Amino acid sequence: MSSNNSALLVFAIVVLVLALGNLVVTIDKVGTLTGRASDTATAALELAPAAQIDFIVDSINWGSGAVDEAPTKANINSEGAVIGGNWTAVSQGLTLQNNGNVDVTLSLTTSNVASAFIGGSAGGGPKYELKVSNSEASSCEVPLNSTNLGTYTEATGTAQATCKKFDKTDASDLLRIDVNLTIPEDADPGAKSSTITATAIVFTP
Amino acid sequence: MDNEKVIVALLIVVVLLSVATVGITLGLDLDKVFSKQQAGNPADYVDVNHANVALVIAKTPQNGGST
Repeated sequence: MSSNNSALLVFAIVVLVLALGNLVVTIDKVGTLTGRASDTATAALELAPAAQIDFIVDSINWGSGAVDEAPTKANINSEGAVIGGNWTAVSQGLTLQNNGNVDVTLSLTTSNVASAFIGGSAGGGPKYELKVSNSEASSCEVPLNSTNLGTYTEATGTAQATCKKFDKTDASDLLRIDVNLTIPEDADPGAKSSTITATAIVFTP
Repeated sequence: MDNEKVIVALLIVVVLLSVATVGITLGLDLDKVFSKQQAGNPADYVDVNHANVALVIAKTPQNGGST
């Protein structure tokens, strides 16, 4: 056998292998792309993760009031307490729902801190505290620690981690956020407001 | 001898065509892989919502106002 014939044989084999590979791949693709008749079928889709949280109750307003004459401060919260003042009692905390299709990690950020929100210094100064608790059982599947849920924490004006894993399940996707304020008697009069921003990021174990 | 050269040339063309065809066909899979990597807008991984807390502090002698 001449050297040219040997080269032909090698090329022929290579071409045969490539042609067979091409045939297999092409048949596989055509098989998935055509409407080939079959007694079984598969429908497939991919659900992209989407974090979505909504405040079902997005406002707390105690109206107008003042610190009583005798104490040096008043305490009000969204659990119905009005102590040492005459503001309108509020018994409804903010309610946050996980409406997405994924569990999320939640943090809260207030637009200001107690001194800027309320002001004054009498009676130990102002306080602006938030408390997160389950409105539906186990909504916060993984809290930050053992005391994180159900405990008032001073607002710092920066992002404060609140719940490591906020459940997406419909029966357990509600968190309640209560607000507790201490108002010194010498706090400047006027309208006071603060915005609470909830940030949800897709939970990663 | 000349015929053999022609055949070799033709085989080379066939090889190149086959390689190109396989590459294009497999390219469909690469598209699928790429589209999977892109599934889900990164913006959907974060959501933000707002609530408001408000009160009015009335004027009193203690805070500089009048009764």
